[in-house]
Amino acid sequence: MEEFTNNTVSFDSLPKFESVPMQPLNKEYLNVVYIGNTIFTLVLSVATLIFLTVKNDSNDFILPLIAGLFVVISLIFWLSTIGFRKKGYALREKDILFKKGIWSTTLTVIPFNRIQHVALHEGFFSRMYHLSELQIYTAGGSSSDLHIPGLPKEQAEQMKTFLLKKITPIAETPSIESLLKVEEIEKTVIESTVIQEETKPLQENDGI
Amino acid sequence: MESDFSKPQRQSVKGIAIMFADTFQEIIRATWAPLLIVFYRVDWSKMLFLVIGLLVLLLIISIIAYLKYIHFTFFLDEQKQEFVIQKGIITKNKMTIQLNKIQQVNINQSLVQKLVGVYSLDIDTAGSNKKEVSIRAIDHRIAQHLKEKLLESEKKVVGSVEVNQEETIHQPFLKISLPTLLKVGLTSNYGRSIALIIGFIGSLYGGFYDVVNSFEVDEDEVNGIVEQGMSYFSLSFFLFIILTLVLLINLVRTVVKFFDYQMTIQKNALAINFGLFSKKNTLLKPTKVQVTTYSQNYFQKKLNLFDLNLKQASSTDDADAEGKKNDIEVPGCNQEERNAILTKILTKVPMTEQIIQPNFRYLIKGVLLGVVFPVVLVLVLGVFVFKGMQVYFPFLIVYVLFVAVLLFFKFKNYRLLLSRDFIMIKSKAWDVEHQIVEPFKIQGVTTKQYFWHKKSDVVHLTIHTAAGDLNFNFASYSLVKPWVNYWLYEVERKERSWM
Repeated sequence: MEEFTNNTVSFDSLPKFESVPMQPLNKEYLNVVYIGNTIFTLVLSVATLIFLTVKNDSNDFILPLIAGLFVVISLIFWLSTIGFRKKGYALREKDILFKKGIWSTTLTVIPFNRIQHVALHEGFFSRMYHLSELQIYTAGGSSSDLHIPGLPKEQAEQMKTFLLKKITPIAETPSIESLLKVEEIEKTVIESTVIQEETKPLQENDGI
Repeated sequence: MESDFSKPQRQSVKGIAIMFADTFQEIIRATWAPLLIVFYRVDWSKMLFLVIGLLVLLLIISIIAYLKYIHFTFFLDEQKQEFVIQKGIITKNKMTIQLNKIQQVNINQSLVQKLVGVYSLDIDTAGSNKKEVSIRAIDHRIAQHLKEKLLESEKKVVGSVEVNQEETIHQPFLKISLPTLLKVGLTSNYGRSIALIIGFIGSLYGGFYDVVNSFEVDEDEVNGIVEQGMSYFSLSFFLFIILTLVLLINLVRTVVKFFDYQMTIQKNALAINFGLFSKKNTLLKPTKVQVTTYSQNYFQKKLNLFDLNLKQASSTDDADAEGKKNDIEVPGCNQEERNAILTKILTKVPMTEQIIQPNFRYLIKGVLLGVVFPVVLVLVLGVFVFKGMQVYFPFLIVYVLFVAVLLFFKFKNYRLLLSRDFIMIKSKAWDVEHQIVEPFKIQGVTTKQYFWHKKSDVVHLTIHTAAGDLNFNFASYSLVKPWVNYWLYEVERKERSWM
């Protein structure tokens, strides 16, 4: 027998995914974004400079070119600032939400019991600010994988532990990653991190 | 006739021949280019060396094939519920598959295998791993037996109720006759065949010009003849030939691929056999199906034919990507048979409680991309750049009419059909398609809203499943929201295995 269900579920009484308050990313992460932009700007400027010196007869477009460069650069900084502000995440009791997008607002919800595997990623510049990216993988392919950047390292670790705790009880659910035993080693590594950090309580959960 | 799989055992002795063919094929595939040069440049007076060389090569291949055969063993560890394969001559390779992770077991027979009289047994483990396990040469009886053993773990879970099911194994559940296949061939897959022909003609045309160029024929003269020929060539005749070709290709393809299609119920699974030259034999567990699709075009509707497609977990992102090996196709069945299969897989035939239509903005996008943009492009190019194109401007009207009709039907058919137990997306203009997914098989949900759509309450919905994404665009956000909440509730409230 499956579990007995007979009650009509009223749609209104269900928790609403659309009105969950989102946590912004850590403010320091904006600096990381700006560092990336600055590097891009430098590369672009150098390329322009080389172009101008190679083409001697291009004196006529120096001004429009520099103006164009300026516009592009300020656009990049402006858009990435907006992009940073639009990003946000939320943990509910049974799923995780991530919101992003400049022109469009993309909101993805991944139930905990569909997560296959969780990882942390630290970029070079993120590490300078002690930030990490939380990566959540599902069986739904890359379009449903979540990458939440700009989390303080400590907090990201706690979130990872929390999520792993949520997904390990259902080890029977075939995780595509561990189909052949060869790959099982990876899984044990993840599980060992769980044990190691089990004692830390999670703070985010209270905040919501 | 019990075969004991608990001890490591080799393949059928005939397997040496298969190994030989495989190795030979591999070597040819890797070295065909240099070989060709050797043959081209060879000094025929030294024929003897060539023959000796070939003989040595064949000998080496035989030895490799024999060693491969000797070192390939497999066994079933019933205690640990594992299937173990060991192979490799120099580097030893041991693969262990847990029985409960087996998605499909297929028994196939290629042409070479048919000649020798063996089958290959392929074990498919869900999705991402490319390391598909395959036993290349095995007797049919042993293969069947092993297959049953491999899929036995599933039976144990179900319990002992179905012990006597084996009696009913050989009674076909669905059988597609040759006339039906002919009907299917005549009515489906026009798009694919047209693409094939265009590709073929394209390469022919290219080839023709290569010939012209390489023979240094006076180009203008030839071009003149070609153009004249083309314009005198009756367009309707040309179309007639294309149409016949399309139908012919479809017919042959369908019959060869799906000849003698049979679906039988085997324990908890559906066994599917088909194929004219190479027999395909697939065992499918209904619970592993992630997305079920049925489609029907206007002709098929008149003939009461449906095309069914069952998608299992895979690593590809795009649910529409064609020709995935995990997909199972039922090329032609009538409504009753369709309902029977749907019931087998989804436990009941989906119903609809609420129909959500796309916003009219769906049409705006279609008109902009399909009509306005190409027409303006052609007009601008024709007026300012290639003056010669102006002759063809009347064709634009035909094109616009065609696209308009297409868009109309696309819009008319684009619907989100919802009920408590099923999500159905109906789409496409010609091959009207219903994609069905059960809420508990959802892996995640994404909503996407452009800022200019906020006021008009329009949203793009993506449902992530293990068999790819399903999209429904231009839906009403306020109508979709409660459903998304309901689906999440369905997924989160219980631990129901999605595969």
